[in-house]
Amino acid sequence: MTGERLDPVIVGVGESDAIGAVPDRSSLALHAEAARAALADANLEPDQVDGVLTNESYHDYHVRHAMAFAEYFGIRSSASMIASLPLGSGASSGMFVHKAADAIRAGRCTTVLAVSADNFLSALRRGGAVQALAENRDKEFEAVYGPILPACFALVAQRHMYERGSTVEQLAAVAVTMRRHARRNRRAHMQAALTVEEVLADKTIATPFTRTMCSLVSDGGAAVVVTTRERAEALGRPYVEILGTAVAYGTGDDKFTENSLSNVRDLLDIGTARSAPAAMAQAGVTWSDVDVLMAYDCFAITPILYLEAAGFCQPGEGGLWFEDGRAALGGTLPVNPHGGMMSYCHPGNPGGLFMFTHVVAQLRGEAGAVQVPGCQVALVTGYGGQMAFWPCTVLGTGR
Amino acid sequence: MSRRLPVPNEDSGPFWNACAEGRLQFQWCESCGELNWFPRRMCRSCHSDELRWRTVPGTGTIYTFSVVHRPPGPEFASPYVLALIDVNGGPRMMSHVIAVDPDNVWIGAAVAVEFERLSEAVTLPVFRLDGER
Repeated sequence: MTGERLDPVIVGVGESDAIGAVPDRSSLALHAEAARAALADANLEPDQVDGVLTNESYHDYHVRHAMAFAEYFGIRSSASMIASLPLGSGASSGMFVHKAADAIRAGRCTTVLAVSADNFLSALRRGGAVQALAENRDKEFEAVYGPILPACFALVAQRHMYERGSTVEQLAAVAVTMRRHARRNRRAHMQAALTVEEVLADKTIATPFTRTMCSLVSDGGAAVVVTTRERAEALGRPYVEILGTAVAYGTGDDKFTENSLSNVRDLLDIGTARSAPAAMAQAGVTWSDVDVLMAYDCFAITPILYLEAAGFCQPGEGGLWFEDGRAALGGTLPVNPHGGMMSYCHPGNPGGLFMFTHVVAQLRGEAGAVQVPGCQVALVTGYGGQMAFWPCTVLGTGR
Repeated sequence: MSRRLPVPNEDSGPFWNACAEGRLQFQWCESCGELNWFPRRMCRSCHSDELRWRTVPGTGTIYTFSVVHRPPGPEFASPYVLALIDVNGGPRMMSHVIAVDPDNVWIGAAVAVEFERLSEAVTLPVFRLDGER
């Protein structure tokens, strides 16, 4: 055994039986399917789980969401942590791993199940999802102006085009890259071929975004199990090391944290510029060590921002990486080999957790047709509350 | 369904009252000089009680914008121009740019405030282009 006995590691991952359009499953059922799959993957019995993390749901509201899940799934009363994180879609999966790792290191828990699921497509439908997400913004000084979520990220994209010269063709290339990856992944929600021309000709949602520059509205759930290295070794299953986790609140320039968009000084100065170097320093890795980037691709601008903010390229170059294939499978730094939330699956909050289920498969060498050869180090990003908080996680091959 | 309106509260009442009078006003701290937006009880920089409302001229520039073709519900006539406005001498605020050809809006454009009375309690600040490109 290398490293410390109580080091947190990911020992199991799982997804709901089906993802994409799953009209016959409740939100809690999707949670339970993903959780059961993750425990089976880890070779764990249900009574070995002593920590649970969930997210609140956009449509299946429970005052105590984590307790509702725990009752539904049969978490034992010997558990020492059952908690739900607030809706912070883009950041929630990174926060799961961050908080699970803390609980393991502190000795509060030995085995934490983090699970998130929703039937975003079948229960809310597309219109309901748009409406739910529009209410994300400040209820008094922003929501009244109809800031649908695509428009909020469109504000970022327009500024990026203005300041750093990215183009609509580059935004389209992000969508096309995700689709090409998804087409090699049979489980992905979207399988149809997609070209830059088709993305540009698609229906405009909020300029500069067309529909295919936005993430999907899907059903599905995902789960990860974090435990100690000692227990993972005993389970005899391959595990993945959590080498570094960091969260930045607020942008680099701002004196204060901001929950709104209005008060962010620089929409391009995302907190990843602080959380990525912090997580990489903790992990003892540098940019050239990273084999795969999992970029929270809620809209086509964000993977571009991550490449720039995390320091993989210069400001203004991110879009080029998608145009010339550096961000594609086989390129310098493959981004979202599973197809991302733009083509694999995006059921709202759980979207980011599929980045973890996939990247664990990558690091175990089990990603099949989308395997990045020799994948040893992965960086997973998150983008929460739009401009509010940014987790970064560095994962590495374990045993 | 009608548009869900802001509900003025103890902190924000003076802001909305000024809008009803056709004025845009914000809070500055007398103690440390910090501009505080959105409205609040105490200065978020030094926690002093000495926040004072000051009216600004209501001009500004477009920091960024998006033409929204897919509104959250039928209560919004689309397309509309969602924008973040740098208010001259004030904060950045989310708003609409109204009465404009959506193809003729640009970052850096000068704008001036106008007020849309939506209800007894809420008169909403919006902006109109103020000059040529």
